[in-house]
Amino acid sequence: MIPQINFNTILPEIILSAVALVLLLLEVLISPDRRDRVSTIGTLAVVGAMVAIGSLWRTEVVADGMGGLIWSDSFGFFFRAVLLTVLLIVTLLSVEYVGRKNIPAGEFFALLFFATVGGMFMAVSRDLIIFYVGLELLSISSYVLAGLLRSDDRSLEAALKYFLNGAMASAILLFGFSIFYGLTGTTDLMEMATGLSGTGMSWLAVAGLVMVTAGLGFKLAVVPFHLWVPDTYEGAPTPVSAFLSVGSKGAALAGILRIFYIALDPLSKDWMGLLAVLALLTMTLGNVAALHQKNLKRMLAYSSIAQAGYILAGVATGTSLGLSAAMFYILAYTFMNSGAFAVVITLANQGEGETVDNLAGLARREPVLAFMMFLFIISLLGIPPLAGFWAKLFVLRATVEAGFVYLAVAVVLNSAVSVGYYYGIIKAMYVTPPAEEKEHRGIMAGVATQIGIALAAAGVLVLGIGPETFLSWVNSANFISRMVP
Amino acid sequence: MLSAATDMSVPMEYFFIVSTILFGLGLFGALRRNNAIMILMSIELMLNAVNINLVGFARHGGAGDPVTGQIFAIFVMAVAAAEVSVGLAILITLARRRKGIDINEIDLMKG
Repeated sequence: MIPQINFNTILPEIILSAVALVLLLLEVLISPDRRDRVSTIGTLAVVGAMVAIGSLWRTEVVADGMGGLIWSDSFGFFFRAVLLTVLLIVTLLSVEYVGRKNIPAGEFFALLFFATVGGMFMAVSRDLIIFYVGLELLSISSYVLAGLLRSDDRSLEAALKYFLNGAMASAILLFGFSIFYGLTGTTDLMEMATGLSGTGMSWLAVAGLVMVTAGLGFKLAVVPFHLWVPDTYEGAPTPVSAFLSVGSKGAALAGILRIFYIALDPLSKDWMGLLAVLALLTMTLGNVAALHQKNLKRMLAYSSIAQAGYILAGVATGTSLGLSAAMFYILAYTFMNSGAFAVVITLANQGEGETVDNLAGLARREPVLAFMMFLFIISLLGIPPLAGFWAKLFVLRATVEAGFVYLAVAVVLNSAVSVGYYYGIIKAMYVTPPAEEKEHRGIMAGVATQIGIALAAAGVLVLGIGPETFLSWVNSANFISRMVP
Repeated sequence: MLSAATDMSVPMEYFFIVSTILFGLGLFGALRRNNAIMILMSIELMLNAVNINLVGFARHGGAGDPVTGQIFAIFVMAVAAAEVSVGLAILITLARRRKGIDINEIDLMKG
């Protein structure tokens, strides 16, 4: 019997994949001086995919698409919308960067699109096989993206480290999957939950749990699987670092939530403690290591590890409230972190270095850009009334209500530690005089970069001013509150 | 037909023991080797351990369709091939720019 296949449910993915293939072709056909058209087509495609998501949204199909292999529910829509937002911002930020660094635009955008499509499939997959293929599509495209600056040794090193760590992590993840397949005889997430609740706890299930946690934790940059993060973020082309820090992490979070909250729900007593310890380690180590970084990209890498710890604290609660908190956090994090990377990209486009010292006197040279960076940094820090504040507040509320008081205390203490390096950035921009007096050049960022930064800033502000709207959106996409009355 | 063969064939535990040993060897190699090609080969060992698991469980798994595990194994093989080709491409690009692929010497970024 041929299953009913409704291609409408994966329309955004189809659009992106098709355009990615066209872009690869254009790379060969278009003359080199018209390469900017590639970026234009790419940007339009992302907008098209977002329209497709928007048009599908209201249908509220909880039924399964693609013969029961994917879920077309509002949770999937939420994460696909987040990933498309990331893609839109990163695409806008890349337009100028790709031209200046002589990266082949067709390849770059095609790989970026494939990576996003992989992440989107991770968010909707109902079957471990689909999940695995989505994960690898995201990973393999990311390995190449990290190494696209072929004449830069650091970029190649970043790609190699990412690849070796990533391939190992996916092998470990797969071994975990194979154990759960052996225990339950199925790869369907719902049936797996039923199977696991029947067999009960065993050492085999614990081994599988640890392996799945390691494999998915790698993508989310959870300590102790974070070793690739600083090197890869530092060496990779900066828009790629931005994509890895928000897009890749968003997809990984979607996967973790689906797999842990649905398939491994019968083991929740075991994974709650495990994830709580990992969250504690992740936020602490990330913040402490960020304190003595000079390179901005490296500092943002450690800061993103710390942020992953806060997100994981929400996940570790195992409650509906924690799920919503993690989802709201990734939404806020998408805007603030890609914004911070956007400022680094703008500086790189102007031929400036990537260290904190290069920020000296930025407020005088480029007041608007400096203010944007200020906005993103204090949002990452969690100061009201910006997006990051509400994100942290919801995580705190979820952890306290679930009885993880020590996690809440850790989040607060870690936020205090993070002042150390976040303030260093603000101080460099506003207080420290520039090493040599540079002329006032006004805003040097290209139009696309400006739009990208403006989008990120708008997100941070809107989420900060009207969090209720977005929280109710997140709650409507929360699958626990729908399943359990 | 399949169940009749199952009764006489190798028990599941043996498959799992072999795959665990293979996976352990691969993990050890991936963590201890310095040559990037050797790490790549160790990762392949780990993936093959996964395949033994999947096919073994598919043959002996009680509930569910046994074909699922075999299909999963084919997917793993196909994706692993794609992964390795990308990995080798990165390695070749790197090897052209420097002598050798000892990962201890690829250390521009630290801290």
